[in-house]
Amino acid sequence: MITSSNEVLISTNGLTKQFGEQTSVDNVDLQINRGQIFGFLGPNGAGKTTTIRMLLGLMKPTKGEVKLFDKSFNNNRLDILRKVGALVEAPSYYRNLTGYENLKISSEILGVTKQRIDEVLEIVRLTEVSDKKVKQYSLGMKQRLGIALALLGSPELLILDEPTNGLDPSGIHEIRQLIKRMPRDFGITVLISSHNLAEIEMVASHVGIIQSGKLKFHGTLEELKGDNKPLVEIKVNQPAKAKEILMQQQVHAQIKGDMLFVENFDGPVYSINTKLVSNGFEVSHLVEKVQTLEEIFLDLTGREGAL
Amino acid sequence: MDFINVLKMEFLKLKRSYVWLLMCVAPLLMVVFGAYNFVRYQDVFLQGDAVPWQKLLGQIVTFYGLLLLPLSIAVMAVWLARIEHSENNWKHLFTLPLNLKAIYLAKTIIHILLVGISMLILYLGTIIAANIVNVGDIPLKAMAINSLICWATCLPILALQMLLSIRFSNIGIPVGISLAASITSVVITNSAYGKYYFWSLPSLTLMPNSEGMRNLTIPYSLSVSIIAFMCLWIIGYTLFRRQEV
Repeated sequence: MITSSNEVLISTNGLTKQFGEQTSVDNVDLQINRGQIFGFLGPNGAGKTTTIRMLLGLMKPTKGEVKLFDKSFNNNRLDILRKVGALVEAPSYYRNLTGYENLKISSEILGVTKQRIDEVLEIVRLTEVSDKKVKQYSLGMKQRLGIALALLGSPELLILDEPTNGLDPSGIHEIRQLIKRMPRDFGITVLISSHNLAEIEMVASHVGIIQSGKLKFHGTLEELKGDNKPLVEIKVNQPAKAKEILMQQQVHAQIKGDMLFVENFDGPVYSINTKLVSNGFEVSHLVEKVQTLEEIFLDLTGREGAL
Repeated sequence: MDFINVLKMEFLKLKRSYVWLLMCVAPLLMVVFGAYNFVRYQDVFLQGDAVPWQKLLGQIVTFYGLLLLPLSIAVMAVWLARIEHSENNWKHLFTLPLNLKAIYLAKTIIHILLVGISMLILYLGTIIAANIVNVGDIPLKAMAINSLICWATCLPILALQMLLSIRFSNIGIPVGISLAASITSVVITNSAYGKYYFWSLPSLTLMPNSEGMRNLTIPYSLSVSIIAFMCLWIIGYTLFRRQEV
């Protein structure tokens, strides 16, 4: 695991965007430090892309402020954008040009050499098709070209909005491997957005979860998992009596059906068993249930939204 | 980042896309069509003391100046904007470290140059046609000046079309407005109000003087066109800068 530094690359303060009556992004405070892979997670339409568009200055916030590299966009737009590479929503390309020519166009502005174009083509493995027109590319190849464009200027910060959208499993795998290499091999900090928890779980060191424009969680992946304490499920011959015994130990159990449930238990689970057995109860079933990350995610974002 | 790089980038985008050929084909087509028409009906045209080259020129530029030139300007503007509207390109362009003014200016310059190519082809084509159909000596210098003035009078149309094409990703709006304005100009150009209507100016400047339509002076056409162009360009750029992508 790469330890991130304390240098803040992205910070937002009360970031809000309203479209008419609808609040698309609601008071979002983000902080992303150098060296992190920040997974920006949320169901479709939660406000991820709108947030990213505001981060890049493509859209003005209704309220709140954005700082990249500790600078705001007003007077430092070019200074900021020189250090940022981005892929927003869908890859951008000119269909009548080849992959190479598409990179060449941006290289005029970024002032990078031909060698760098070849390098990024190599990184996204498009070298072989670089002379083909982009309109002949598959979706995955276009997506990779989009990532190559984002990498072209050797950015310090890479912002990728749903980079695996529309890719097949092997394409997703490939992009995942690529993103993992960014901080390690190139010293690039990454913000990646996705609606897919599994994808974020595999690459991110830090996570922000957004739902209906509100930031529901912001922290490391460990904190997200650690936030949730196990649920202990017990089947015992005299549940009501067992509940009382446990209560004496400051363990609050609930009876549901013929089972006892202990929520948010933070001691060793065997201590419950020891207590019950030593008091003469017959324990036929005792399970410690930890919520999977998916369940945590669904709890945070609301299950209805996931359907 | 120099402006020259932005211009270079914009030129690279034209590669292997042949829409800009329209700007060459449109005047060429009118030269051929006009010359053919002149030969076919020259008995009618050359009655009385008519000057042959003026009649030939009239055949070539009337339709071109009124309809084809403004329409080809509109189509070029649509295309220059469309390559950015499609495939999400504004977003990428706006995340590149470049000045938004530079993009807008570069696109305008390319647009102006393409109209210039049209003017050049119309000029050269008319001279060649005049030699082929044998209308005698033609005033090369006066025609060259008229073509340059015509180029300048295209500027306000060009700026408006660029503004509309960038503002609206639906091509129906800029093309529809261009069509309506051009068709209206057929009526207005022949009236006393022609000199106040921007879509009439290009055809009025191209017309040979004896047609009796040319009641505008060079300083008037130039100053009106350039001032209107600058105003429209500034409005267009301001809207462009505020655009959220």
